Amino acid sequence: MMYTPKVAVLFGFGINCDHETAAVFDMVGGHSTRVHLNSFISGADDLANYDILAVPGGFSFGDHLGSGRLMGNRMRFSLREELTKFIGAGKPIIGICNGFQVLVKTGLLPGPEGEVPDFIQRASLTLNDSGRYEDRWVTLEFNQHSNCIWTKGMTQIDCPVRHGEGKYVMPDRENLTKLAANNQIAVRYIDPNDTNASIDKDTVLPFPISPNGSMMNIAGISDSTGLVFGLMPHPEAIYAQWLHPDFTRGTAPTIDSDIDWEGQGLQIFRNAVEYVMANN
Amino acid sequence: MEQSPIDKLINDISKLPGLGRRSAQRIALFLLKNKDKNLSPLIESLNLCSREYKSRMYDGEVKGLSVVKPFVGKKSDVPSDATVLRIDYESNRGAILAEGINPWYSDLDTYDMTASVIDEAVRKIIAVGGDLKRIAILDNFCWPDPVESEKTPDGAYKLAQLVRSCKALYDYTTLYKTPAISGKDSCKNDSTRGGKKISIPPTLLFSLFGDHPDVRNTATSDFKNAGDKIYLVGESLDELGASEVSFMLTERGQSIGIGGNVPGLTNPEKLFKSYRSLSSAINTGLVKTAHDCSEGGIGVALAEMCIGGRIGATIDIDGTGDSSLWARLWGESLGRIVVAVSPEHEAKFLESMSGSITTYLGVVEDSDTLAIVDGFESLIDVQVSDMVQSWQGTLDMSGGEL
Repeated sequence: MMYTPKVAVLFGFGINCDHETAAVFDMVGGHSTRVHLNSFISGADDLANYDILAVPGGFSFGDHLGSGRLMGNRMRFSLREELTKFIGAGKPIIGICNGFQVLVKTGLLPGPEGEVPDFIQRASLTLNDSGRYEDRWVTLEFNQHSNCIWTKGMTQIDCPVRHGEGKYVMPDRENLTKLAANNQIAVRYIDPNDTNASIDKDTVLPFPISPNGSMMNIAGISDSTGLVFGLMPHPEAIYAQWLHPDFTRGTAPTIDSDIDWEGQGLQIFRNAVEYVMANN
Repeated sequence: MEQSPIDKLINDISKLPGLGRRSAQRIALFLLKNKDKNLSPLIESLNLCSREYKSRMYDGEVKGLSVVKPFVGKKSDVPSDATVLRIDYESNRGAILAEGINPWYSDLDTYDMTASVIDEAVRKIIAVGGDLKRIAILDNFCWPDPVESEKTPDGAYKLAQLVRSCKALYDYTTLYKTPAISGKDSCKNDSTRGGKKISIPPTLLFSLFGDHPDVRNTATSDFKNAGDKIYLVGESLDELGASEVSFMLTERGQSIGIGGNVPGLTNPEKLFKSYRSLSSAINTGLVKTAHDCSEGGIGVALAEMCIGGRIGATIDIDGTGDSSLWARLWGESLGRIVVAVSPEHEAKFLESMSGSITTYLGVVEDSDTLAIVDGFESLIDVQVSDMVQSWQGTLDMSGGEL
């Protein structure tokens, strides 16, 4: 019998995308459980019981002291050993939107050059150039040379961004260049109409094509192992074609899949589930 | 004696069928004042302009269930009539959220204000294909202090306004068979600034919760494809009291007041039949475009539909009722929904609407022009791209290009 990967989807403290994040893993053959972060910290549940960890979007701890800061610290100081073991065991982790902010502030993303996490923060997600929170749809392009297990086979998708602090920054150009050279820039904002085709991909695209002004148009990154992936946009929000804003106009993009309603984002979650299946 | 050009125009207009001299005078005045045939003064007004800047700062699709989102259209930048959400991740049954609000009618009568907002919210649910039989209401009262006191010498009048509103709430929720399951009351919306007391207009916000049989078959307000046929479901009556256009003209000193009939319900049974037929035409997939016609009338509704689709349309409002040209273009009569249907579904749509007042208006054009005529008279001739600019410009606080 095929192994059913067990997915822990964090909830609590203001996370509000836990239901759909759990649902998308279930749609592609996973078995997800919504787990309160405190259950892992108190020992009521054990991270080692799961094969995949998802940190969903939301506004953990009210975004006080900066989005993802408090939850990031909570994980960094209370789950250090568990998270190290989890990644050491080759288990995938995803952080979406607020979850990405959490993983960056935990230090798991972009992480060190080696394979063992050191929980040192190397980047940040800061206030959008627009200065405000926005919900709008963007187009993403995936890095075909990335070793990220989550983005395998992904090329281009439309999905929403729903954040106020999504501008990816690093302290200097050197770090950024290294990140790019390691193919850790897994996904970027692109212009779907290519009106900016002449612009170098590293040059920040104009608003709203880049919704936040991220360095090098970074939408999401992975760690050196390719197991940990985080992104500001919401791929779980396009698990079905019905959720695309063009669906009501009859022009939503379709994809080749056994599921006739499948949307462009679902493959990301299937990738992780299949990765675990293949390794069990 | 030679006629003045204005008299000549009035005479010419009064020769048109069904028009008296008074209507002809009003039309002449209107034509002269709108010689550029523009809609911008209305769509850029504070009540009707785009609020995108604010609305985008709200997460309109958390939970991954929103099929009709707060924004619709080719550029996803016009507000939807109602939002439609899947009820969970396994079912395509939907929940609909809609609301109705129109404090302006309270200047004339809070009874009519209340009735109109119930119908507005209900027809928004119909416009996305919701079930008329399964609608629950939240009535949210935002009222000025209605208790007479030294600070509120007109308390008796404000209380009477509240009583009129509650009477309409009873009459219309029982008529529409829409249980009012909850709501909120806030009755102290007054402020004294610099010795001057300001009270908000009596306002009732209806939030409606509806049922949708299949979220995959909804309609949205944006025009979709050139060649789609445009129809008006419902009838335009002489009801310009407290309308957007009457407020606008009064504020500009071009009209002496906002008086006149406020939209009311004339034949509920007929209306419900029409709602049931249209809703079914939408939730079975026949109709993909529908827009509630309210503030600013058909004129503004069509403008919004063109803006949403970034596409033009040619419209003739002759035949939408016996009322004056103004009432047919800018009037806010209840129970009206503008619909566009593809040519292949047109016959079936008309068949399904039999027995309801459904009037052909025109066609969606592969162009950038919204042209509205009344018979031989050209009323509006405007570029959609210009309308986008005026509609979005008023409250655009993004500070331009970043």
